[in-house]
Amino acid sequence: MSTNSKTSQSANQGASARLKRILITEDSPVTQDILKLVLSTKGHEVHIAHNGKAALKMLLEEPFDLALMDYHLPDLSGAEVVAAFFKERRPDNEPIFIAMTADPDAFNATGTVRDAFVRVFAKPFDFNELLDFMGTLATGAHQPARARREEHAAGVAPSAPVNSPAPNASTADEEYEGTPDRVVSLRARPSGYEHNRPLFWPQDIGPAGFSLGARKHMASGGDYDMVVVSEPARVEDLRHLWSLGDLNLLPIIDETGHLGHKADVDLPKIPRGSAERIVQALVQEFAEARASVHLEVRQSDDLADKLLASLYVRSRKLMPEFSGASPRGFSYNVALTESEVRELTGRLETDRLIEKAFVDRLHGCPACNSVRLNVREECFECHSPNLEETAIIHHFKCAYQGPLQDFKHGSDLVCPKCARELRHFGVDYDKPGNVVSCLACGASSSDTAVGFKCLDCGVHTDGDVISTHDVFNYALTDKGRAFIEEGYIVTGATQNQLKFADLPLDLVIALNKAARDYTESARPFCLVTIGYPQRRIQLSEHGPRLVELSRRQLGENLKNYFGDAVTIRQGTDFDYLLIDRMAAENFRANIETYDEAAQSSLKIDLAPRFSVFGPGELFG
Amino acid sequence: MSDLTQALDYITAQSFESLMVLTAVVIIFEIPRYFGLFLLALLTPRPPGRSLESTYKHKVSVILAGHNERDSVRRCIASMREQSRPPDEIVVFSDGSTDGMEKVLRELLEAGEIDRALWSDLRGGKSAGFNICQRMASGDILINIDCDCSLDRDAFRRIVEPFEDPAVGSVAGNIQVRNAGSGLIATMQAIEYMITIALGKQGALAIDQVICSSGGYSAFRKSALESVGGCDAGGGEDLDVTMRLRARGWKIGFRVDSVCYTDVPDTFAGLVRQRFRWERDAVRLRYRKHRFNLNPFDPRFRINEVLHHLEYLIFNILAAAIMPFYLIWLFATYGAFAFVILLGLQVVLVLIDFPVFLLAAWLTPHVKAFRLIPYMFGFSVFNGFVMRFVRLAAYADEWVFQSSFQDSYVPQKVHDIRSN
Repeated sequence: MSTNSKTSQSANQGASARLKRILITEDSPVTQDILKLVLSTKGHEVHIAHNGKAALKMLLEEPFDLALMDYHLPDLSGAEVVAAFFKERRPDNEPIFIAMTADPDAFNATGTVRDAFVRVFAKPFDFNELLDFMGTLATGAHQPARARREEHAAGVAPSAPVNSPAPNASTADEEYEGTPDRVVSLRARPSGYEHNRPLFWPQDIGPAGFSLGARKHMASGGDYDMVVVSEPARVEDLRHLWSLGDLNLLPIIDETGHLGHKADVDLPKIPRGSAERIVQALVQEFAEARASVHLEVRQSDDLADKLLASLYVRSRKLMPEFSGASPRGFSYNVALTESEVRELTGRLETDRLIEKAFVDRLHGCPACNSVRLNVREECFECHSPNLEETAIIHHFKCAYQGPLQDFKHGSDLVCPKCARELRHFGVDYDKPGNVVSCLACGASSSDTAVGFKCLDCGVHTDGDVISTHDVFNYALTDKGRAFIEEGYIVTGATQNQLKFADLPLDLVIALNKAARDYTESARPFCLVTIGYPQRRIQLSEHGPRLVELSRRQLGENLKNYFGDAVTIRQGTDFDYLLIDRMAAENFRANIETYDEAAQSSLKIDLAPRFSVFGPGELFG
Repeated sequence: MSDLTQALDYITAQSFESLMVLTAVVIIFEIPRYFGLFLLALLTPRPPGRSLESTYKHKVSVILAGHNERDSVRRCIASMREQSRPPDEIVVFSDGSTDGMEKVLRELLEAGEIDRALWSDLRGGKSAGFNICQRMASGDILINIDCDCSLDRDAFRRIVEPFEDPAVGSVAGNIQVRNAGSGLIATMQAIEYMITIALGKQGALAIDQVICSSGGYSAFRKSALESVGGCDAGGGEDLDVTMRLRARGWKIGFRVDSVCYTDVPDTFAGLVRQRFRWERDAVRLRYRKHRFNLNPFDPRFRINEVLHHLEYLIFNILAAAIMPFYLIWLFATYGAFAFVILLGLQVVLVLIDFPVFLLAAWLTPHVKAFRLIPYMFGFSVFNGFVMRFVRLAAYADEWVFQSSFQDSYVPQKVHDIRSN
């Protein structure tokens, strides 16, 4: 272990000089961040590509010394990128490729392309190993690409344990630096995290941030499945989960019970026997849900996006839970502070990504905002709560009417006006109502005022001027859900521009032409993106063939419907429709008709989502 | 036509003595009363205005007891808030209202428009309502007002001024008619109120004969009220309490320039019901409860009180009682001429009423009296005949049936037990 780090240090110094420009192609935001952080501090110039296309573009445009490729990318696979690169590259552009994959078997099955990679690291990999390897590369130990390929072809295995991911987990455990007591605590736990990879508070992620071990684990492409809070923590302590990659989308298992509903599992409240099952199920659920979150959203640095994704993955509403523990009186079931939630929900609601529903109205102290108030019935005059309610007595005979105490004479009732004794209720007298007397100032009324006294700061406020604020719950809207699944394209022009880079090339050309016509002769056009938010369900229900066929049929239908005016292109996630001479408003107005036309004679319901962009929205 | 000329011939042929006999009823029962008032009012100097500051020497509480007054209480309170001398405290009592009046009171209380709001679930009647307000109010001067009244801007300022005199126990306000335009009946009452209240009480004030601090609008010294125990059970509590204050030696004032408006009945039936109630209560109070005033051997006997009793006896009861006999005699003696004679009397009465009315109008310059003038021609018929018969019926009713003990203005539980 110690020798390891020493060698890596010396090797790294040389590595930074020789392997100056590094491209990291990685879709996991966490791995991205960590790799970039670590390699930058070692003196490398690190560039990031989020997907295969971007990587290819960058590789072709500028020379890199080293390319760390995640093998599984959302669009092109690492193999495809490398293959395309070798087809189009300039001869002098010869970076060293290193592959990272969680599935080395699949990688090995890709055939010849894998030979383009100098080395394959199985995720999660030992970060020191990577650094060491980079060190050896820097000292010139690596062979030319051709020689490598020959070597592979001859059956010489690369030095690393490419095809044995199972021992890897245990290795990682042993070498875990940040939590020396981790093995012990893990074993001691009834919930049995041994199947999972937990991120521990405060061992891995403490008040100061991430431990070195955690960083290395993440930098080596290692995932975490959950966050385990093993010592009392506040929401503020978990702040780092929201700053690095998509760690905010991990389930939070609270072993202490301090986080309450802000955690996903409140372990002390769960029966011992079922803890493991519940945690396992939750980890599984979260992992599946995370996979549905669009990469753009997972990579977003915007806390609002993160909150939205968090709601999506946790598949729950943002619900207030009332409690006297905080002066605010409630907290939301998310590991953020209430002021953060207020600000973020405000923005998300404006964008209609979430919708709010009224839950309750709280009264707050105007001085300190605390809702911990004593609500009192008070005297209208002096605001004293020292009130006494007595009956009014009406003496029929002399018409004297006043509070009971006027009549009290020992155990008898004697009229203060005519000194007659009141003997018979209903005949001599009755009690027509009540009067509340203030024992502090002597005032009387049939009614009392309502006042508030703050238990935190002691300030008194009259009932009619007390400040109120409403508490809402927040749920994802369809638009919000679509945004999570399909990325920024859903939110349209207002927030994020449609990314032209994502469009098929010939569509971009057609779009440019249409735009030129629009500026020259004001000929309207609109670009329609067709998303399939339920494609995962459809794929699992009907299989890829039928879905693909239906999608193609949908395109055909639209082509027939619009005729020559339309250009249709099929993309990976989206299909695109460029319609000449049609304004975006017109399309929106008739969207139901078009939807019907598009889906006519389709075997399955694709539930397509149309997003329409006019020239203004595309270029404005 | 020939009848008329014959009649006129006949009248002009009469000697002075026989003319006097003919017009005796008018001469005895109308002229002295109003001409007396006329002269008195003319001679009484208008009350001097005092500085506004002087009215702040007293703490002034308004007491307002009402039954089912949800709709009118707001306007009444608003007109109080508009006073040049606003009250220091407003106490409102909802007497067993079933129209949600207490909700309005609650709102007014929360808004700070009133200071005390009390309500009961069972109706106790006006006297009991007045008494609990008196009990709960903290001012030295209590202004009692009906919910359906509204006030001139300086009404409170003026009604408080007479309390400078420590002997004054109560001051009556000048109640006038707000709905004078809503029909002949209401218009006639507008003239009546001008003459009997503005002029009548102003005249009475000169000889210390203000007998009633009316329940509609008047002010009381709290200590004076406490000395008599507030209102007693039964109707006519305003007259009763005023007479008891007088019996205790308190002076009763009147301010002609403290004007309050109220709505009067605008149907004949409504008017009759109201007057039955008033007159019955007056008879009951004067000749049952307060008859000691007429007994020279009673220690409470005072000449001052005899005066108003006599006035009431002669000008109200006797004048009403004699009317049928006079008419019968007139018709028996003169046959068809009687109509002409009566007509002639009316002409004379109108001639008397005019200066009287003008004087009343002069006394209350803020009340718009001008538009009432055309109705003066009918007023003498209304007042001299119609109302006189109404009164007569009321007296008979009370005398024979003691109907005031069935009056729905007072709850039955109170009727059952009160003695007088």
